[in-house]
Amino acid sequence: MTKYKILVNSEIVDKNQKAIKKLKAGEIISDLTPAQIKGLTANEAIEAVGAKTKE
Amino acid sequence: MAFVATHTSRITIGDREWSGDLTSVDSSSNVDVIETTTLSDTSKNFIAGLNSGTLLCNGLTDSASASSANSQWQDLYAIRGDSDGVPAIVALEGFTADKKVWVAQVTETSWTNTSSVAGAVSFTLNMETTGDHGQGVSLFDPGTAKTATATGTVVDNSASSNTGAVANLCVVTASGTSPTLDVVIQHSADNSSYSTLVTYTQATGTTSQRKTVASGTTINRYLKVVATIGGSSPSFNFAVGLSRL
Repeated sequence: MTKYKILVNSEIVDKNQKAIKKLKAGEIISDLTPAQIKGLTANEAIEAVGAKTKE
Repeated sequence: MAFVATHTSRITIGDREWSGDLTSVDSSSNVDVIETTTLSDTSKNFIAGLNSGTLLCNGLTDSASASSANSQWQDLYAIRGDSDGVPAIVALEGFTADKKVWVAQVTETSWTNTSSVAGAVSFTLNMETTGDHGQGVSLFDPGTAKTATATGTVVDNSASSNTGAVANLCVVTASGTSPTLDVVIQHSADNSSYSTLVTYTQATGTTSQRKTVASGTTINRYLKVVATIGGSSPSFNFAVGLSRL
């Protein structure tokens, strides 16, 4: 499972704008859904860590 | 079509909301044009030059003592005495989230006091913008005091941008014991995953701050303010406006 480093403080909110998950800058997490990954990537707020690179 | 009555107009300059002092306000944005016509042209040609802006305020002089905290005189003096300029947000349609606002850093260029027969003592303050400014949107309305952590209304700008932005915070009232206010502007591409775009220095009283977002940084379509309030019996009224450049 890909791990992601949080680059800036972020949060996932529900339809009422209530924060259901708070993500602090510097934190490394792996339990993001594809939609959350897409959204946070658009915010330039995450980067994959430990990703395999081609030799 | 819906026209707007002027009684909805609000304006913050520095740490004061001035609509109760002013009788009129004019904000303008200008672009120099540089002539590039050559001998072979049959019509004049121009290219855009530097941007600039002006802010003209006409107001009624308040008799409150210069030594009174947050008196009109003190707040005028703060504008006049700040050589770096002060943040201003002109909200001619009011500060309701998503309303159009003019966001700028302004510095005084002239000051006039007037007293005439059968009239109230008045003043005119002319200001010039310094640095980037522009038309943007209101992100937080100072009309209601906030006493606890609050989230502003989401504003949808329809599309992202990456040409920079200016964002002003004007804290116009503050009370309580050791009150603190931490304001951030968040952005989102999907109205679900929000990330911090702008972080203001913690406010502990009335103040104003201007932040810029560098060109090349993505600013997503959805914007909102999150304000974290601390202290004992805290209360703040504050405005936030952001203009994409």
